Amino acid sequence: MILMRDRRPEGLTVGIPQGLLYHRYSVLWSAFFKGLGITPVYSGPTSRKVLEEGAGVEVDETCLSAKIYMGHVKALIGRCDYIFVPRVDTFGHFRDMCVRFQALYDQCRNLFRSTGQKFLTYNVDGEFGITEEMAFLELGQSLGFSKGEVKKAYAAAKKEEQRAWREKLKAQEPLLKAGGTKILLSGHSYVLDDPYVGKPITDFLRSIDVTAIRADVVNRELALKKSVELSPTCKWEVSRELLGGIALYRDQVDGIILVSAFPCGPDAMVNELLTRKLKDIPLLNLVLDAQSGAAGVETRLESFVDIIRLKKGAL
Amino acid sequence: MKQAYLGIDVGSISTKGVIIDDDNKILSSAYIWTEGDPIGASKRLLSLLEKQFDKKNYRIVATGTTGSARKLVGTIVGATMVKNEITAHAVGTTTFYPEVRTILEIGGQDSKIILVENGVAVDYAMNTLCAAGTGAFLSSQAKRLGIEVEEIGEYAARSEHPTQIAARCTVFAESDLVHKLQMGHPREDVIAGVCNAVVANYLNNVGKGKKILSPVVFQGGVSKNSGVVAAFEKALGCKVTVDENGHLMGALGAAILARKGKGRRPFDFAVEDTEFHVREAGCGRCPNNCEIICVYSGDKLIDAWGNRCERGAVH
Amino acid sequence: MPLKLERIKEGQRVIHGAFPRYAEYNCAMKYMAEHGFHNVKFVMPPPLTKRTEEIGARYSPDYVCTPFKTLLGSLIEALEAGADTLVMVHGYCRLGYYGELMEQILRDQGYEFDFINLSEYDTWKKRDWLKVIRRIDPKLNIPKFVQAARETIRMMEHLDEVTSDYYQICGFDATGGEVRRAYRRFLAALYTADSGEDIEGAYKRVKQDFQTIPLNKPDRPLQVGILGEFYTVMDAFSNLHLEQKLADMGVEVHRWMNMTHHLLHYGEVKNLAPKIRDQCEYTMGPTSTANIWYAKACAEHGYDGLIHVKSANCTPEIDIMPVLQNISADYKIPTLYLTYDSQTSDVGLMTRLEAFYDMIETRKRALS
Repeated sequence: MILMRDRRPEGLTVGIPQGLLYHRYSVLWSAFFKGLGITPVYSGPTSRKVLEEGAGVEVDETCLSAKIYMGHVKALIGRCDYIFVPRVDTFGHFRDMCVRFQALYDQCRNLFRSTGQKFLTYNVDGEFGITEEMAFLELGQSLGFSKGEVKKAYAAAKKEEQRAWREKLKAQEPLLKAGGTKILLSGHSYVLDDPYVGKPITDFLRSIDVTAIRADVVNRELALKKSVELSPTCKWEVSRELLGGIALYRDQVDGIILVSAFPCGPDAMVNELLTRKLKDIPLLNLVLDAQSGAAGVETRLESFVDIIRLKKGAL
Repeated sequence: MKQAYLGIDVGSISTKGVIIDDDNKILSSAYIWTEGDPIGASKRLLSLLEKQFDKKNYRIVATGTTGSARKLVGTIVGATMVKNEITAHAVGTTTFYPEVRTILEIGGQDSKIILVENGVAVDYAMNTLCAAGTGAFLSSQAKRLGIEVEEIGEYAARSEHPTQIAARCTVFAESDLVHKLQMGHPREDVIAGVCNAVVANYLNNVGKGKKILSPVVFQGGVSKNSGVVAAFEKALGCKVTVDENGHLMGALGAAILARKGKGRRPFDFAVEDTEFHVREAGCGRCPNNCEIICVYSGDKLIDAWGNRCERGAVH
Repeated sequence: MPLKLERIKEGQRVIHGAFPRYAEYNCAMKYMAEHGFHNVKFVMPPPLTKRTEEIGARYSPDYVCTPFKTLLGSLIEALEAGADTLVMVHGYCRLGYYGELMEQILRDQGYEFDFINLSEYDTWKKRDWLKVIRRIDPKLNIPKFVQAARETIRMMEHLDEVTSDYYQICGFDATGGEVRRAYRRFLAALYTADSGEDIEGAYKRVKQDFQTIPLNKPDRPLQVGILGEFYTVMDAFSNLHLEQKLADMGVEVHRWMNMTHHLLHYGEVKNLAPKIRDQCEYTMGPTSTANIWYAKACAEHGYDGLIHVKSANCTPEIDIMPVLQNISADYKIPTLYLTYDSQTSDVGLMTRLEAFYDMIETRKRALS
């Protein structure tokens, strides 16, 4: 991160790649930057082109979501003063992110070194006591804002984020009570919310009259506690939220679909454990790759739903 | 009597051979399918080479072998030089194109990239994952589409809107291809799509992180495919040279290396008539059960290899 | 070891403990287990073979990293060899979750055993590790335990030092195998060591052997630095004897990554991170700082090439590849990237290594 403590920036633009953690923090980030008078520049929704551009840059063996992310970063090169790439190591004990999120910022700097693009990060590292708020403070101050200004912007942004989150939770409540076939979707938000990768799944389920419940739309604190019931030593924050969501919602749904982007590290293991543990409920393991053509996925989803409905005697 | 040098390149799909003189002039050359029988293919190759060879004026004084069966065939023909195919290709190509900076090579099962500076290979990479995007992939897709491999270029040239085909994994690609055909994409567009996919896959896997500088020489079996050549030129934005003897470059390299090497052993075409057997013996002295390859000329064991440890040493 | 068993009181349970094969470190684990505790018999899992890999891969999820598969296979072989208690370590990457999933898989396969999963004891407080020790041996003799720990650490340090020496000289052995035999004798001595003197004696002998065996080494041999993922880079079976193969071609093989450097004497934040500020600002993964630093250090020392070793799907090592590629470009040092999975073949590796050797050798001649 370039330090500019002495100079209060005017008309600063920060590029926000719409991949990976964007789907988790879009409200917080946008509100924070706007609160400081910074104009966020968005990369736009994922498309085939974004994926292909990203696959051309990112190491071949990384996951689909990382490739998509690099496509978003590439789309922002030269369009803003900084591209914002957070680094999140861990939120606390047994609250890690996949190691890819530790590396992401430095990876971007190395992959796009020749473009001269400047990057901006914030660093959350619970093992060293660096909380999200401290990370934002450092970020804001490094751009030349005063501690008070940054604190205010963060507090306001956090408030907005919490309000949006409460709304999201509230919106799911009636779905849980709905009749008909209900299926729990468990996957990283950057997979399920991605317009190119995950959205076709939810759209298709809706088209065959399935109510999709999201495992990650759940009281997060409660989910972290509940996750231990399914997996006592799972240490990934997002996986634990999903585990907790499954533990909390499993009795209210007819089946579970585990959606994963190939080859997601944590999912490879956690979903294997879930497949072994969740024996009493229909379970579909859906691994999405760049080429998993829509037709193949739809066939798998449709047959999974058919089996559930046949079992209930209501095809 | 002038001196000549024999080079043989035994790949998984095709077997190539050349005889050159001291000025690297090709005196005799042949190209046949290996058909899973490297020994038989080598013998057929030698008889083809013999027919074109001027035995009155030339004498073969050194022999080089390369390709995946280099060791086996090297034993049989009494090679003075056994070299891996990457080095052979680099040496062959830089001899004929001293200015070359990048060598692209796509063969039956392998693909590689070699970066050259001042006639010396300075970096290279080989495909890591699977055979997707190699010659084997192209011919299987051609078969699926009901056309000959040789016709691919002609079909691709007719396409105006190449179809998007994913080629990262053969299995995924095949289902994608079938799906696209079922959706009514014209065959030429699908074929052009396959060519583009081969190139995209190559650049994303083998070529990742490599600076591809011009002049670029493309060789290996797939270089005979004008559709893929066109796709490379489009993707790289520069001219891609395909030597008419590009498919022979490995064999040429092996012959040149034999010429440069110290070993001298007159070659006798009589090996065409000698019976060779290869026996695979499981070592069985530990659970590795290494497959030991034993090569016999008649009843005489002439070489053996394949053991990982001393337990299985034959000699 | 009959001596030990005598000391166990009648009726008291003897733990037949095992830890999967890991390079040559099992000799140290055995020593620690049997000398630190009074009620443990270490069950040595058989050396890794293709079978180990096959049975491990059969029960493992597809795209988990390869060491998971190998270690699982080794645990199964340890159970077959009579182990009743298995130990799995914890770690910063997916390694931290190996234990739980392995236990589940083994239980699903119907094995019965006691499982000590160190991830369950990870509380970020060092003293909580004592709970594990107490669980194994409630009547622990603390002075004896401390002494055994000291000797075990010495053993690991000696092992790493000698192994490092070995791969630097064995390619230049003028006797046709004495260096290799001396190293083998040293390993055998460590696996059967029963005291601190045994360990020190073996070390002194091999050091002397290495000094006296005649070598045929040029002033400036080809030097290659090996780096990469913690398990595959050290375990000769898993990397298909990469270091031996290179040494046999006449290369001086260097590798920094080992237990001594990375676990016992690692000062990441203090020493290494500032040296790679130009390459990365933050820690990129569990072994990233060390590997990036080492790649840079080798380049600055004028080594002829680098080999980056990782198992398929190793996220942290995949993620530092762009950094390594920049180092390779900046310092003009050829770098070979090797990804191992249970299907990687010896032949494929040889082709790549031979080509790499030819390349760095030709380059060296052209440059000099």
